[in-house]
Amino acid sequence: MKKILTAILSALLMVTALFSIGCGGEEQSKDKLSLYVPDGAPALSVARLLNDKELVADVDINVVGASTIQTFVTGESPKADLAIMPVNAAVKMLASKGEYKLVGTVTNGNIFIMKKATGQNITADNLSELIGKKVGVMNLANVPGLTFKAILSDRQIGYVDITESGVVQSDKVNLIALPTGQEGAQLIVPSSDCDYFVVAEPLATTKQNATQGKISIAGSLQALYGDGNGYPQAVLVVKTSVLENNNDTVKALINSFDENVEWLTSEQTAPQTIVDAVKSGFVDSEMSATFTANNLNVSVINNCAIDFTPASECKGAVKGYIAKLNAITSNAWGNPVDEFFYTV
Amino acid sequence: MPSIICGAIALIIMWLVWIISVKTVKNEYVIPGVKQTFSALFDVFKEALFWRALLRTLAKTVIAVAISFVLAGIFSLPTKMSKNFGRVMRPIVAVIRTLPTMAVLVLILIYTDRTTAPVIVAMLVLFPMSYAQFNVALNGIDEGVVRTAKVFNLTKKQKVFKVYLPLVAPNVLSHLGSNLSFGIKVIVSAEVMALTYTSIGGMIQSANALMDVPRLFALTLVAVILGILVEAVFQILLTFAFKWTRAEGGND
Repeated sequence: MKKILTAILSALLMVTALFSIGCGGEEQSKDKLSLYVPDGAPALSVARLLNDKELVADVDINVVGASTIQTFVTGESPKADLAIMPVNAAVKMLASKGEYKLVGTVTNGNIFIMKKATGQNITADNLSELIGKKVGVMNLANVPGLTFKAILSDRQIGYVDITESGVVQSDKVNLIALPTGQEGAQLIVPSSDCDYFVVAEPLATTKQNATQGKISIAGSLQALYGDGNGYPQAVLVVKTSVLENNNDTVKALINSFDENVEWLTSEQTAPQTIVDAVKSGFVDSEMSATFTANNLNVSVINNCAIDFTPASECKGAVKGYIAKLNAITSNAWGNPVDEFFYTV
Repeated sequence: MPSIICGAIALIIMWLVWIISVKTVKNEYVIPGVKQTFSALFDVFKEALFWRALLRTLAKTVIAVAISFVLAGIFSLPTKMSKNFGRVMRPIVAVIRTLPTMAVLVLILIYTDRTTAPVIVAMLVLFPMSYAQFNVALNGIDEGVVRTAKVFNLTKKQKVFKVYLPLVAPNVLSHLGSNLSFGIKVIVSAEVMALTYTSIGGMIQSANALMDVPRLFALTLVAVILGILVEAVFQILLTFAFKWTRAEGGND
């Protein structure tokens, strides 16, 4: 009797386990295309479509953690028919494979320079003010740090990563890597050793508010890069097969971006509505949201520089940006070949 | 079955799990292939930075383990000798043991630097372990020996240095290898979070930022192999060091 009971329970457990494997966090309709976006500014760019899922009814939008987006566009059978992802990751992982094409840029930089009370506002004219100073950079090894280094290099301003010796060089900009997330955020305080900080939204605005302006926004990488109109940060990539077979749906999605931004910044749209819309797309409901009603407002949204530019117009900017990143990282990001851009 | 064959079987099982995972996941950005990882590993071995980072990570681990070990010894001896001292220590050690060390890493980073912070984090993890190991060893001393020491009117100092320490030495030192191995894991994790320069953890963080997954796996493999090697070396050393405890009439 005991053995029969054990066998039945074991069988039940196995069946339950098998069903659990089948029931993942994300729900995908077989008839719909799947768009994957990382939480943060990219998710904001499609918040209106999450708020009203009928607007582009043929697309299921899935919001995932920023560090996991690449898992949905890589592998033998990538889940994402479309994805918004960092441009450097898109080029590194997808440019040479032909499965996806870059359709356009979606965000154009949301990284800011912050100063302490005694600091100066930083513009293209006085970037040399940072020479001899310590600049704490969140995510120094990735886009924020690399973009900042590219900006300094373009202006022939030397920089050095401060190592454990802590020796500050008076003729260079001294860069200090700050941990990401809460660990780094807690080091951005008026009493910090650093003179300036490089921080992304929404943390920049949050810090400014939390310190009552003792740490305040002094400039942006967007204004300092190139001609001052930002740099390609997140891009929309689409499966080549989807471009061939579902071109109308892709066009409808692309056409929605301008109205998406209008909706985000409209007075009728409450921050909580935006936050709830984004959360409704979370694949993992336990994920911590980047934006909350407390740190989201029109100013922050504008700072996220959401603006769709088709590949035909942004190809040069993307290639130039990747070239600058490669110059700093020994060609770590690969080559965005012409065939990668959807310029039809 | 000889232990070397058991070890080889374990290695084959882990190898098979890796290969099956690669074949199942089919995504080099999630689990890179064996060939890719080992290719990245050999590239890493060619870098001078790697060897400096390895030495520094190992040095931090040794320092953390050594300090934890000494402190554990210092606090466990009075614990053995005084019940009240033990009662005072118990909740303190419990708090240290349950402290979310990665969460306090931020606090530690504010007051120290990214080289010191991982050492302190590792000590917070290792001290309770070493303290418990010492206590178990001290409590395992034959009561007859303790009574004999009393009968012979040994001073406290004599009891500690002539009786307790020699008796517990084989036991507590046998844990040093696994403590070092565990310490490597904690130190590397803390280095990743603290972005410690010239460290295995720092290199792992950089590989992650550059989305170089084979390199990330290779560096992780280095940490694992290091831990296993350290533990194995210690086991061999202890085999020779405490032969007298296994000799006829020895105190095993």
